[in-house]
Amino acid sequence: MNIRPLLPVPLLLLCLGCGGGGKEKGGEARPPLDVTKLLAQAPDDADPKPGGFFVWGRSGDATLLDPADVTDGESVMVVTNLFDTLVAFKRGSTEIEPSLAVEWSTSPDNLVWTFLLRDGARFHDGSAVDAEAVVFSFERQRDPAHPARRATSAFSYYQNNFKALEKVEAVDARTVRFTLKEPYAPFLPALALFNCAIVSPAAFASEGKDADGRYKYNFAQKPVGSGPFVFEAWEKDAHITLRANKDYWGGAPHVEKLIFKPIVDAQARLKELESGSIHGMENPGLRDLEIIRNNPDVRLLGSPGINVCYLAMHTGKKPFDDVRVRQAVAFAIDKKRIIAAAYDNMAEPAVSMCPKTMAGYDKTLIDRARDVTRAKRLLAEAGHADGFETSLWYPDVQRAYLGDPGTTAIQIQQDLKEVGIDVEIRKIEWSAILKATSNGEHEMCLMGWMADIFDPDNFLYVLLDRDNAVEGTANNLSFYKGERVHELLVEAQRTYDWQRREQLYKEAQEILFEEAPTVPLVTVPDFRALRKDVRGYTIYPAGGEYFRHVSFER
Amino acid sequence: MTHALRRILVTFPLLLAVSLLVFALAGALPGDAADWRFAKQPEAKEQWRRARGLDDPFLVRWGRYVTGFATRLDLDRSYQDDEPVGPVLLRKLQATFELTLCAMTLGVLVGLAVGILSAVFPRSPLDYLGQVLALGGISVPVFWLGMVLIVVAVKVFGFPFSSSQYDPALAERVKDFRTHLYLLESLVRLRLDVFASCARHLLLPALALSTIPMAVVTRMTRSAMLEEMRKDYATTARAKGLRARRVVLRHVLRNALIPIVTITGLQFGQLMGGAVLTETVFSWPGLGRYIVESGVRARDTPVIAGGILLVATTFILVNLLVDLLYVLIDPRVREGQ
Repeated sequence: MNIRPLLPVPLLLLCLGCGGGGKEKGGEARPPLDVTKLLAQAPDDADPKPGGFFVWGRSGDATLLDPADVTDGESVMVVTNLFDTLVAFKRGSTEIEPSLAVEWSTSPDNLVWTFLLRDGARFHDGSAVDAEAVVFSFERQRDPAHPARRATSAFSYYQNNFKALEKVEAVDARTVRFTLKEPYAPFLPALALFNCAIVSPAAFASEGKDADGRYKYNFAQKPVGSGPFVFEAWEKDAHITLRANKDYWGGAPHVEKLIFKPIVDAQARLKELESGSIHGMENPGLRDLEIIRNNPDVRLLGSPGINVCYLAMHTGKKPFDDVRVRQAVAFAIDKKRIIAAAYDNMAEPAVSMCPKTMAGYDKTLIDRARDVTRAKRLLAEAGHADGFETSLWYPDVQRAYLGDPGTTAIQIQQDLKEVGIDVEIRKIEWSAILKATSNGEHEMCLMGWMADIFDPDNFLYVLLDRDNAVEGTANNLSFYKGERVHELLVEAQRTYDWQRREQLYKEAQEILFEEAPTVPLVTVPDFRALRKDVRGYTIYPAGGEYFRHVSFER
Repeated sequence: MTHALRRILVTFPLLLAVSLLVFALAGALPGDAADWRFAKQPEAKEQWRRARGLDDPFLVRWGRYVTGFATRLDLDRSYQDDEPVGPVLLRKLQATFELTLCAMTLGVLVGLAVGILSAVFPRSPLDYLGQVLALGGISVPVFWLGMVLIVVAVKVFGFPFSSSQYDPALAERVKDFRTHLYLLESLVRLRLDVFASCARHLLLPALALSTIPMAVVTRMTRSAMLEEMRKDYATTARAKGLRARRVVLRHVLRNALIPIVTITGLQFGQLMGGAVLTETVFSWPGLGRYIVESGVRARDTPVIAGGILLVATTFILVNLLVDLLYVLIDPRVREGQ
């Protein structure tokens, strides 16, 4: 059987800080950063020296540490160090490898998946990681009456990703069986996601139940997993401290403690890195990349992002129900100018809603070059020779894929004005825009998406299938309901043969490009900055942070 | 004493009014916590809204909140993690208190000194310098000043800058602390390594935050001193042969203190809730930042309401303290009753 739900994206890490070329201060300037020229980074952690406290600076604090219930990146990067999943991403890659499950098999119809668990893995509280714990970890997300659930538990990743899952059973102490209602090709990568972390049932039960029959133990504040680090302390807005799990089945981490420190301001974060009070940091300001490259004490790491920022047009509303109008908008927008103005040239134009960095991206697509005449002609054909008025909503906060929402919106407004479309731009508060756009209240909106599950399905089906165009819960913000696209995406979801899937996605992307319900704008790379003496750090393209291999050069 | 008692009694209806206002304002924010937490899960959203009574009319919710607080000192549970918000808010309040106290001490000491010198030598270069600095202290935005301080400290002085309250590597050493006033408690416990770390962490944010009270106190001291020095008793004292220093420090300053103490109290109260910018630039785990980041952003009404109530209470308490100080400073307030 050819189970290959996704191709490994070649891991292309770039070590920009150490790049040669150009001269130092006073001479010729270094060549500009080119994120498309990615260099393979040699592993730099041979013969690691144990010990030390590793402090990671990040832009905010975690909200919760219950792996099933977290949704924000700041919480995710902590839980990925505390917990294990059945299968995991290979170091620095998007390929799947065994983790708590050492091997697995599927039934001929791909509906029943059987996993054999690792022998000897233990939770931090000493209890064994067995099949019952796996069942517990999934059941509590499925069953609304499960005792290991709080009133605030939303478990939204489970809701989104495991609609196809019918049941999870323990066959014996080391064997777990998952039964699906229908074939679901992204099943394996979905299992590698943090929400599928295996949690300790003994920890939940340790403080008894309350009057409503729910466990009293506050797992989201005192998480117990089986991962390489053990939870030690959390002082809100100040630090989260984890200590090395000396008994980790995969080998103990090198550093003694791992500390997550929220430093809100990107500039202040960089100054702390420069003065050595933190050893690594996420999200350096795009305008600071040059400073980092020029500082001999720190180095810059980058990885092509797996995200897309796009403009959605509500295809259920006039005049965007006319494909010619949508194409005209696509022809009118100048992505290069947006990238220069809003991203400091640190982003790549997107052609498809499936990013280039994701397997399944249709490489044959050629983007529309900006063409004002053609856009005007299309508008005239659609009966809008004099243009029309519309509105564009955009969020008030920066996102990884949307570095400067206001500037992006203004650029689009200017581009569209040239073809006669008069756009009123409106800044809307983040939670309000999520709600309003999923209700379909907008005409046009600026939005983006980061990969949850590492699979093209996670972009194309989630963002463009008619199943996800239901008012109130929509992720398909163009409310595009194309029949053929739906057929293709659903078939791809149920097909396990990768080559066949790739063809299906290719056809879907071609149709979507022509139909232009959205205009994909950019894909933004991820950057990290580290002290020079830090070894063994790797960016994981699929998200989360993993610090098990990190050590200090002494 | 009745004066103090009356002031304390007035506090309660005041807090009640504040809580009503906060509830109304938090309710007026677009979207609520359920939208945030249960985005795209309409059923779970409705269920949770019902469970937490979010569909009840606003006055009912407010009534429930006030009753909970009055009977059990309960500030409700967070909409994000279902935990009581009271203990967390109290911790944050202490962090803010520590920062504010240091900034105020610095601000008042420098402000008083510069103000007195300016008043004693009016129109001298010293006076002009003091006034220009005071004007600068009021006008310069604190987030900008904070950033400049950091850059200068790191780049020019090689200062090992680190944000937050203490070095997280010392977490073990502060584990048994009773309070979150780490600077004070480490001094009391004579843990000098912790104290040094705390002082280093506190220096820059306290410096940045002190500029506003420093400027305000300088200006107030100068004008109050000048006014008092023009009065007859000051002339008489000088004519009687008292030395200038004694006149200024013992007589004039004491009379000028009333407006200075008032403005100091107001400043203190303001900084307790309004240090958000400083707390953000220096990632200080304080109350203002917590209200904004954890409360407003996630529409966590209990965090917003509880936080603002705490700030209001502190404000009222500080002003009460100021009122009581009047009695000490000025016998006329005592006798006047």
